[in-house]
Amino acid sequence: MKELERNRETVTAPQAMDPGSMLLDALDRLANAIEAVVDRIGRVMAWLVLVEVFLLFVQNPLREYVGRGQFFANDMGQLSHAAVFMIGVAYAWRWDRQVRVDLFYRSMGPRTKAVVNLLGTVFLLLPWLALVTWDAVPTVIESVQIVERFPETGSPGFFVLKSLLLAFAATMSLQAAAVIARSIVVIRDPSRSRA
Amino acid sequence: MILELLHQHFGLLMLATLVVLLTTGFPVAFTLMGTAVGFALLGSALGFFDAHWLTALAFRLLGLMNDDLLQAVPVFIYLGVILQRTTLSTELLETMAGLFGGRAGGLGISSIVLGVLLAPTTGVVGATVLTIGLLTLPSMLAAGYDRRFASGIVCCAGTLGTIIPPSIILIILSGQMRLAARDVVAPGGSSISVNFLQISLGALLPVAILLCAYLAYALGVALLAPQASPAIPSQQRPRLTFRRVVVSLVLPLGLIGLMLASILSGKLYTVEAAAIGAIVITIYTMFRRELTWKRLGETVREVMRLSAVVFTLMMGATTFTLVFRIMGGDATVTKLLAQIPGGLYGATLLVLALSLGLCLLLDALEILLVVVPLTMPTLLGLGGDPVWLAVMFAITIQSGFMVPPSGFAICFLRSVAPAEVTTQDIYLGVAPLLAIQVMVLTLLWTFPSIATWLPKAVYGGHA
Repeated sequence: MKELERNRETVTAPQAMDPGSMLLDALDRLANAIEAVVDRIGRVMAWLVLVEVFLLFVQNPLREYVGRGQFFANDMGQLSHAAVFMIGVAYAWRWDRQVRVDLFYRSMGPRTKAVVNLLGTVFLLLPWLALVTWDAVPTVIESVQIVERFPETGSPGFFVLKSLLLAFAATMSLQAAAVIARSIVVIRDPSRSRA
Repeated sequence: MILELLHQHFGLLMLATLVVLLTTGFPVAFTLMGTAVGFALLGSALGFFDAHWLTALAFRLLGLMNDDLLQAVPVFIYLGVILQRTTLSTELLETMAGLFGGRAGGLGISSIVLGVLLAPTTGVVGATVLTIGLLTLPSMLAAGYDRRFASGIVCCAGTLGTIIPPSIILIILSGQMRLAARDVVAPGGSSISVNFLQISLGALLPVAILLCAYLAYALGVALLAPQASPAIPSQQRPRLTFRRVVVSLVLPLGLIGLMLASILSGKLYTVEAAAIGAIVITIYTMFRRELTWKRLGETVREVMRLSAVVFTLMMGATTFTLVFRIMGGDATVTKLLAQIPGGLYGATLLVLALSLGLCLLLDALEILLVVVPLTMPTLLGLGGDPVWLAVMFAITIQSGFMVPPSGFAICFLRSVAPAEVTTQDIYLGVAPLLAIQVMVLTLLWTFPSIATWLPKAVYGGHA
């Protein structure tokens, strides 16, 4: 089997003009480009971890010694915290860190893994994501229009927290597109698997 | 007729489908989301389910984003990642080995103590088992420790932290218990409430008993079979100066003790204590030039990934339980659990056994997020004390880390242990520790006040 596959590889490689192979090349490049975007976003937003830590750190001295500003610090901390994990979901997925039950997955070949990821993304993740986005859009629009504040403390910026729902939907759709493209490439030609 | 039957068992069908889909290896969180949405759509097509309920999804996510108890999770993960990537914990272990390594069993006991010290940072997808295993296993083996004994110690030292307050697992468990208690009316008509501090206080005594049992085990082996955990000859022990003991052992110990005391006494919020710890450790490791900007960047990215994994699971679990409950899955669970002989105690035993069984498939966090919302309302409704239930559950999933063949601690040990440590060594090594777990659980089972006494003493009355 291995022999055969290797043979096919050496035959197809020089014929880069073959339309099927060109399509796969394009899909492969598309997946890489999208993942690069998700990666860039993640790398920048990850620094908000430090912002969160700092804001939650100053909250105590503000409450004890200054007597004001602690709620603002906490709310902004909450905002950074939410941004970290909402953007982080796609970022963690891009690094294939979302936990799996690897009882059988571990021993699957690259092609079977690609089938699991393709079908799972299309039939399990995307319907959920579509529902969330559908629910979120009117809520977010309303919140942005009235420049909503945090309900309990009145700090500004609650509309940013709500808008994170759309940032989440956007980054997840991007990463889902990358996974779909990459899975199709690997299903058609398992030798292109990067694992 | 068939439709009726389908309706009655819709919840169970949903659970069965989930299990089957999970075995494909598609990410757990996404599978929870997809199964729930699929069944909601199917249910609304058949007329069992009002699709309107799904609009609650975005609000549930917003609730997750705006929950201030959960702020502490990334901060603790940050602490854990820094400890994993700097030499602070190595130094801690070396200092303890220098102090206690001269006696039989000293290194084993030091490993357990290290597990306790690193506790607050642990609980996420086994990250501590990793840190502690990588640190302690090689040094114990090099000191000539019995392979089985050393494997067992690594497992208990690495997992105990997951349930020492204020661990991430306890924070998330408290959040879920609070939600479960919210819409339950206890027998007698009173409402139930429970918070993170009550559960932390409740866990304190049982965890202390567990820790003492581990230490007694290590001491017992040292006394009865000294060749299994020999003393390190003095020329091989790290040299200690007074300054080093203070800097790498007394200071961190004091800091951790102070933080824990301020949390439990209510002086600091958990998240504030965590943030103070995080700032101190960041400045200290930057000052020692161990933490460069480049490594800080790697650290925050790792924190982002690990936290996101935790929150993705929460999103999946909240979707799943929303649909499950509206489908009447709750009623099915209640009916099933009510049929168990022994009332509350029988039902609790079944839930704990089931959670332990799920450890073969899922991680502690995943089990927590699925099992607690689905079963705890029923157990609370049967009159179970929320603190008692939470503590029993926490110890059960901690034990789950050590259950062969696929508990996280076991898998991890097998992947890092040198070839001379066989799988059989590991299994035999954890067996006595699993026995300890069962003993402590039985004790708690028989005397619930071990868990409920302290929160009652602090809060007074009904805890």
